Amino acid sequence: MKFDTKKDKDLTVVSIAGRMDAVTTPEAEDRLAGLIDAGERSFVVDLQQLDYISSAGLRGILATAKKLKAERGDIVFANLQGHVNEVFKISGFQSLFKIFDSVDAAVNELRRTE
Amino acid sequence: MKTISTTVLPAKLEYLSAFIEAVTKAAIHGGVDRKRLFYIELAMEEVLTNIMYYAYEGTEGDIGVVCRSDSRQWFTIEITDRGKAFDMTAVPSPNLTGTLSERKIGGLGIHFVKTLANEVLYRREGDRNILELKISLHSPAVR
Repeated sequence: MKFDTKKDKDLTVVSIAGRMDAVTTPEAEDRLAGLIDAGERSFVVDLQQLDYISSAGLRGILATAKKLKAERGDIVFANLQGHVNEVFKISGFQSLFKIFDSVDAAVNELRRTE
Repeated sequence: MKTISTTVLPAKLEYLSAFIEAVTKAAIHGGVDRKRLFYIELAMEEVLTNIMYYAYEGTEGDIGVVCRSDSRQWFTIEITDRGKAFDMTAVPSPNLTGTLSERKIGGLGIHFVKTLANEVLYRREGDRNILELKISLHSPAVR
């Protein structure tokens, strides 16, 4: 798994590449929690390069979203690919989160609703 | 049914990828469409991590995985452990439509397994949990 962050003014674009499974998700979750603890509140998660996600990955995302909500923050997703998209579908995550076709669209939406 | 592979390894997260690799190879050999390998990988991660986290309650134990195929209709994966009795087929489906506050952190993995395999059968034999996932070689993966 590869985890990159890019600060874009008031929001943070996080790119997660590779796999989010039982082995790798704890690291991603820790890094997201670290960003929240450091005061970041608006996240765009770019999943363009994510090949695989299991329920462990979804649990990490859900835990992060709950943590953010408690801080009045927001998290949205962009660029879901084939398998990852299917997993979001069968878990009901598609109706739970805002999902965009591009990072730009996600950024615009977050800025608009602030 | 012909046995394609048998894998017995400790119920520890560090062996997850070895188990999944063995099952994926067996699935290809057993005639499973490559497009469905992803579903098998996903279902296996859920079943195996469940056992690794909960079955042996702090003590050590193994997991056995046997893959079989009849080359016509079914590819089956039988997962055995000697941990505490647990029947995932009896666990109710999670709420998939709630708001963020209503959604629970757990329960999704078992839902995946039931969704991704065509049939999931459980039996307790002596001190063993035996879970069988049946994957059709023909019908679509996700119901």
